Amino acid sequence: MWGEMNVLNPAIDFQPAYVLHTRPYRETSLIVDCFTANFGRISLVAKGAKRKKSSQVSLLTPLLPIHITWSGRGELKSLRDVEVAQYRTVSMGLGYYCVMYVNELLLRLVPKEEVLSSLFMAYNHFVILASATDLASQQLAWFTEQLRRLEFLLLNVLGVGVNFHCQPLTGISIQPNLYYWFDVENGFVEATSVKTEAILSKSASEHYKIVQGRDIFLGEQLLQIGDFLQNQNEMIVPSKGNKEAYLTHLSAPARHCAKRIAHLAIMARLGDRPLKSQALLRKVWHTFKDSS
Amino acid sequence: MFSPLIDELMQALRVLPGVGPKSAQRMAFHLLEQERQGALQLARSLEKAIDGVSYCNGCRTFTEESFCGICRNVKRDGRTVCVVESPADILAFEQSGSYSGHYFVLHGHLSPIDGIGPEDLGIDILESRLAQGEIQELILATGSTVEGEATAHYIAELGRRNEVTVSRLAQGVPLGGELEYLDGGTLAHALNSRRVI
Ligand SMILES: [Zn+2]
Repeated sequence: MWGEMNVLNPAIDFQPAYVLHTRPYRETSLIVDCFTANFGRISLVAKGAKRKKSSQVSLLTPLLPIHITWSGRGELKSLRDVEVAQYRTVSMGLGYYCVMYVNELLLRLVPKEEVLSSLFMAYNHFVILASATDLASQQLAWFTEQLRRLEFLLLNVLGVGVNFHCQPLTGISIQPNLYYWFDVENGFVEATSVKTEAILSKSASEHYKIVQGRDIFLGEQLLQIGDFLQNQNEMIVPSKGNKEAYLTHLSAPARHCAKRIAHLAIMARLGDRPLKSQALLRKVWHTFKDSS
Repeated sequence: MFSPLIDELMQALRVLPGVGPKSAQRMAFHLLEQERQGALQLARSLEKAIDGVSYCNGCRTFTEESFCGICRNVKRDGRTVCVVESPADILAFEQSGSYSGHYFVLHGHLSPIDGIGPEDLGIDILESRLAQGEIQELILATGSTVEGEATAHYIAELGRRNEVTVSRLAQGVPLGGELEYLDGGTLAHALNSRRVI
């Protein structure tokens, strides 16, 4: 992995990075979108990368931690050198598609050249988790939680984080036994005027409900999600044989709610253009989830 | 810059890979000055090929018939199917002379961020054929890029669900290597030492 010194010393050479996406550029070159530890998201031209059948092109691939050296101050920089930071065997199951989904999120939402070191560290951690786990069915719920953690961190660093502990408009704490409307602009607002028990019974399979075009949630789930996101002690990579490491922290209803809230908040940022990787992720999820 | 017809020809030539404005100009003048007969032949061939050639109903390689020569050859074993990314890969296998099964051409690989999913690669067709039970072994010969590996993994999962033996070309294919650049011997070796995944 990258040395501490490289992370702390933002020189322009041998910067810790991940490739988010590559696309062909002119006849023989590639445009490479990278997420770097010290310079944020940047775009580079890898000149002649396609022509050379070089080792360079095989290193410019998602999921592989690399060091890159570049020159140029404009929006499109010139890639000078690329080295592997650490070879890694990668599971090509569900984890891969989840990383691709996150990569597309970063490409769409993270502004270029904004230094986001905490997000980079979390991203690095997520890629390690995604690569290291086969995501057999018993790990799926656990992995889902890790994905949610990254999504909500992304929203935080973009300045549109969701507060799961209090209502932003009034500053009043969220209570476990009360119901709350959610919308992206106002966050959670207590649902006082609606007979929510009639709408959302605890025994129902639905853990949230859309009423008059708005989503309504039970405080208990929100607090659980909030506590989970605050607890950062979970940032460890489980060893393969250790089943306890895959213990989940959210109840199934809370996980269900977290997914819906993340979806709403992210969709609001994306606007009219949906993510391309999402349809494939959904399809693959259903293909892989039953396999052990 | 030149007359409209010449400009149009130069513009048209630029669809070819590796042809920029300078090369297009050189080609256009060469055709007009020295290869008028050949140029006419090229124009006719292009038109016939574009009109006539589409995907084989069996393996999705390019052909103007409903089934290609390999799929129609009764001596070949249709129970073994080798999945490749491009028609050029078929050529590489055929030159190695050590494979007598059928093929399935994806014309690409899964690429989530570019929105390329299983249906775009005909994997749904392959899936229904697996379900019908006529295939007994799948050999996954997609590229050794991350995208090629992910594509292989996805198809392997479909194969396993249908209780089909799935193997992956392993040794002899260098990291980031592309099949069409490998020599026959290397490929034959890779084929013989394929591993079940
Ligand atoms: Zn065919």
